[in-house]
Amino acid sequence: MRGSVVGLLLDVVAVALFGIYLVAAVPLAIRRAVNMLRTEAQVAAGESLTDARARCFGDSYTRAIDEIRKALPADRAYLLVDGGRPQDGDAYWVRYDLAPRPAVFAGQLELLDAARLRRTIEGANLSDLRQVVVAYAPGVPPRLYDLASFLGGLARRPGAAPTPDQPGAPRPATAGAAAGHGP
Amino acid sequence: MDPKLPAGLAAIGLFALPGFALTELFPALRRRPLPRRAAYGYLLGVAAVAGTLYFLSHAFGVPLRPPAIWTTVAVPAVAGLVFGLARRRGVRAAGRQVRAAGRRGSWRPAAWLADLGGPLPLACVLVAALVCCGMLAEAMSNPIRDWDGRMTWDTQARYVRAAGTVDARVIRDPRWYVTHPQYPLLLPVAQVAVLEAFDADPDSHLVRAIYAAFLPVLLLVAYDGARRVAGRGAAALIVLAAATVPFFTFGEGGAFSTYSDLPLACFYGAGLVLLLGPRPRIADGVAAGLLLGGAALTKNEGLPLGLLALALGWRGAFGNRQRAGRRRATMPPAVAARRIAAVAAPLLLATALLLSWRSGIPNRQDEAYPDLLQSGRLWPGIVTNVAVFGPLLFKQAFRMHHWAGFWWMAPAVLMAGRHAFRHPRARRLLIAAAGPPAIGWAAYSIHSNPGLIAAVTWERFLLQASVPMLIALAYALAEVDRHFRQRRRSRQEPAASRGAAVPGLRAGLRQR
Repeated sequence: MRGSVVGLLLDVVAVALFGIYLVAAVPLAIRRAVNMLRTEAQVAAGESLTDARARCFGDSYTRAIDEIRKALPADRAYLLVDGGRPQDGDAYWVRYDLAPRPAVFAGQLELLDAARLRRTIEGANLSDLRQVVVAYAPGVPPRLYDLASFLGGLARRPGAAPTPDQPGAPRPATAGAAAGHGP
Repeated sequence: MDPKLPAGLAAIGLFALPGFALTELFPALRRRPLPRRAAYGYLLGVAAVAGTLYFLSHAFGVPLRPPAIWTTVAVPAVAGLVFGLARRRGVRAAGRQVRAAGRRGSWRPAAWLADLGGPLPLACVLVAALVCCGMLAEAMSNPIRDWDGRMTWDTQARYVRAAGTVDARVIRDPRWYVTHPQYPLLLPVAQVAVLEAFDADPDSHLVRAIYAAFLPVLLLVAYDGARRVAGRGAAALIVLAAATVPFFTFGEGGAFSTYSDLPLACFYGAGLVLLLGPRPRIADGVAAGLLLGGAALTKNEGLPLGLLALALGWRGAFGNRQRAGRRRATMPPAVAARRIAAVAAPLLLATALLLSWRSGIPNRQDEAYPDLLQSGRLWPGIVTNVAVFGPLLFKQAFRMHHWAGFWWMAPAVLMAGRHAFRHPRARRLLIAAAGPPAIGWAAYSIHSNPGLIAAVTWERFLLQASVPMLIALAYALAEVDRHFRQRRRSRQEPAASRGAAVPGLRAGLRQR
């Protein structure tokens, strides 16, 4: 086979594809690497952690997370509600940012029912749960609520869950956490 | 210089230095040139330091705080140093020419350059080095912003750090919302070790340096394995090809992310290189066992992959004995058995630790593959689900912005150089490379939503298989190169001398 035409053809195709791959991939890889080095030197050099987070996740989101961290002690549990779309992973990012605080996931905001949620909390031995954090779309600041006011807000709007800018949405527990997105 | 860069290097050094000292215990590793030795050292360091902390925390309740971390770092470092000094003294006492050996050694950069073997390999290494430096700079510039890292591994690391134990209450209490709580925690423990050792802010992206360092490690391990079987030129070209695959750097699972896939690829690949390499020794078996134990503690797939590597090592040691016996005995059976035992022992210990640790954790927010497997979904799902996930596998592998055409090129090279796979070692590497995709295939066969899971995980299985895959590719590339040389020679030489001039595959495989 090695001496055959088919063998030669296979060898030529393999070498050609390898060459094309390198011609396509190497300049891109070099450009990306140079850009990364330039970013480090020009943008990120000397930057504080808060500034880096604000640059990547948005100023309002970062401030809201810091406010919630101040309001919630590190060992205090909270109820996590996903106010965005599940495929955006908002609840994951907020849970990560608030860890090590333990979270109880309530589900999608638009599907929540106040009475059922209250029963679930009572039945699951979570009586010390006092706060609710609602995560919204990426970059939109999460909000901290008192459990009672959150459940009250939900109960007042049966079938129509509150959204961040709708009238009647539960009032946030901290002003800073609601920065830029007050009801 | 931005102080974040030295901080990142210090984070890497927390594992690289004790690991490098540990390589002193393994003759095959300590004889390797410094960059390759450092790559194995980094892997051994992560496996030894984070693995020991994992064990001490779970078995004895040792708090994951600076005293325990620095002690765990110092013990292998000092042990390696003492062993190295004692060995050198012993060599001197034996009257050998240590100085001459030192001169031949690989500590001088000029020696590494000469060792590379020419301008083409040098150019490949320079491009790969630039990509790795860029990746480290990116890691030190930006916070963690990947998907699974924040969803699972990094959040777990925060729970573990706050609790000071791998048995954190949040992970063990079923009331709390934790995704994949039974995922092995070697890399999160490594994160905790770095953050605690340097008293870093929880938001610090110092930990990203640990993951970025796995990229050069992967390239060096692949180079090491490829060079031993395919020569310097093919190995350098394969490293260049791997360094420029965008997914290896920027993919969800690559060096950009804090997923455990790239570390798993390194542990599995390095274990295989030591286990399946030419002229294996018992000490290599211990090192391979430590690395495969690291793989088992890194990700769920690590344990089956470790067992596959062990089976391939077994096959290499015993399987071809009858055939090899006709020529020469490569390894006495007792030595082969000891070597396999040396690999199996650390892997078994890691498995025992993992099972014990998991036993206290109620599983939740997880696919629960063992349950799906027991419910008998594998058949006929392994056939019927293909229609759902099969096309997606091709779509994922042929995404230009992730693979830049790598999977157009690789099958063509493997096909053209297929004669190289007559060699049993090359065949074993191909089987090893098929391991991670086979696990993926099995998972998609039993999952209720195979399309979704295939779309987000298939490329990671390809990444996990990268080291044996790249070495197999180097085998094939060297074979294609040999075809061209043969054709050229056969055109130049008289027809009568053609047959005698054809070098065998074995001669090519011996190329260094």
